[in-house]
Amino acid sequence: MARTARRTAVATEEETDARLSKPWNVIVHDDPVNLMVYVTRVFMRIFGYPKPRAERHMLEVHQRGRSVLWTGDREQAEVYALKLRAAQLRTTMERVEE
Amino acid sequence: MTAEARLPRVEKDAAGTFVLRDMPPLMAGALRRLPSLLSPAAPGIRDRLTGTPYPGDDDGTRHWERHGAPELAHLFQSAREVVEGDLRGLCAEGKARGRYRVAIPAGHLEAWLSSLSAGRVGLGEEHGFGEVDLESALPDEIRTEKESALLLVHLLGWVQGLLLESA
Repeated sequence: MARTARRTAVATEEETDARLSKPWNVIVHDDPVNLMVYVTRVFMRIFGYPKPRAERHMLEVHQRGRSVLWTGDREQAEVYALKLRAAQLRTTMERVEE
Repeated sequence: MTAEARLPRVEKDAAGTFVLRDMPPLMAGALRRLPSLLSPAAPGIRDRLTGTPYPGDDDGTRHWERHGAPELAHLFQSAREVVEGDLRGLCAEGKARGRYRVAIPAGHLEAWLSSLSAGRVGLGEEHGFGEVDLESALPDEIRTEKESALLLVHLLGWVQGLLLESA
């Protein structure tokens, strides 16, 4: 019984590690209120993107309803999500599925 | 050009302070209302402050509620206090009657931009504004609460646009 519990614990830890180690997408969703020029500036400031790239993401949000702004480890993705939400942009995160 | 015909504008002084000048009374009034619009309980604002960025992920949501949401609430409150403090300095222009000004230190710019955005987002959610509303011309006479809110959204957007142009 104890051995089974230990195996279960190890398996859970491994699953958790695998889950955390998968990359995450940071996604910004469209809203009708925020100004395009403001959204572009937020992308430049937070991600350090040059203006053409920031504008491309802004237009993707506007035209397709969402854009993946960044992909990487979960901790950094959360930092970006926090900053984007502080700038009043609708932001979610999703794990990249293989 | 007479003082009455001047449009609102932003000037940067030697210290990098943004001085929003020649605001008409309606615009100054919109700014004075901004702190009261920045309620953490306003629908659109609440969504951004406490809504999970992990839709469908209970573990992620719990993690966010413990760590992300409190930090976000703190950032939101700090920005609101900065704006409120600067607005205490909103005053009439010296000689121009019916024109107002407010100074925004360079280090306060981000707080202003995000607070202006929050005020607009809150109003937008409360009144269900979509792109059609925001791109339509305002009526000549403001009669309803919704039209008044739309005017406020446009005025706050005008200020935000002026600040962005000069940033």
